[in-house]
Amino acid sequence: MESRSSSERDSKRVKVSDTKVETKKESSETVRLILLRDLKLNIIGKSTGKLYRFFGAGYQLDVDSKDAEEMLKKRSGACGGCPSSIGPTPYFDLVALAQLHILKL
Amino acid sequence: MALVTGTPLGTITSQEDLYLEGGPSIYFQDATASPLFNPDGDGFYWGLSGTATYPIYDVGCPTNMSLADNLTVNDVLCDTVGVKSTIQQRNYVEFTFDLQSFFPFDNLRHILKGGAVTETAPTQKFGLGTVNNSLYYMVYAPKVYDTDVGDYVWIHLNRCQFVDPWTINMSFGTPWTATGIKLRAFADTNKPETQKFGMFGRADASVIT
Repeated sequence: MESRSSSERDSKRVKVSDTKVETKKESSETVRLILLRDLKLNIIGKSTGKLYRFFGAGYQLDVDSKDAEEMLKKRSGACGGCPSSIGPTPYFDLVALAQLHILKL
Repeated sequence: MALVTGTPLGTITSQEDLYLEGGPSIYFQDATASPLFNPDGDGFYWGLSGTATYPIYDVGCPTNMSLADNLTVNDVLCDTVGVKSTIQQRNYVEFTFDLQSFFPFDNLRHILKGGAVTETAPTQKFGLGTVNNSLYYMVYAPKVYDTDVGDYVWIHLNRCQFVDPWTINMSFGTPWTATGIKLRAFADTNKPETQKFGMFGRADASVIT
């Protein structure tokens, strides 16, 4: 009986540690993006093929990091000859970018 | 003897030989957001600061720009001497311009009083339906008059709406032009009485020292 219970404990230990590893994996695979444009946006991630729906400026969504890389490059606008033009404006920004910078430092 | 040239005596504030030319840039933002200076050290409310929830919209390629005042004007007429004074009250201040830049639609839809834009690659769509009368915008219009040193003037309007019907002219060989675009600045009762409609500013380090 004693040996059984010890083996059960071991298996439980293994399960717990496995779960922890999985959680870490999930959190590293998604990043939170915020939409900076005033539109309802349906966008398909180029790497995963997932459909992401954003509902207006300021809407936040967790996005697969493989898709996020491309999405952060998405830009539009810019009036070439306008003195006020600030160049093409991005659609997305990373949420808590400042915090990420601090972690890297 | 100053009077030889006809100059009056006493304290005189003379004007500068400096002239403004061309239209300012026009930026607008939902009036729910706070202005950049809310207020500044002198008590003035002006400037815009874009956020994710309240982005700033840039009006691209405006032409025929003008800024006009609208007043209710009534004379004080006395039967004994005629008009003795005039009572004036400001109703609104109005930016009028034509527009030649139509993209992106998330900017244009505000100007044409359209609905929310939906984007699904490769299309952008917005509806023309009932006008949302509860949308108000802050407007910031700076004009740099000395690009070497960055001297500029600016106009800030607190609470504006796009009013009046627009017309889009589609002539052969000329760019599409939306005419009759009017940004009307109403009184903002949350601002000081002297800045209810907005303010005018100038930044010039060589003159204002």
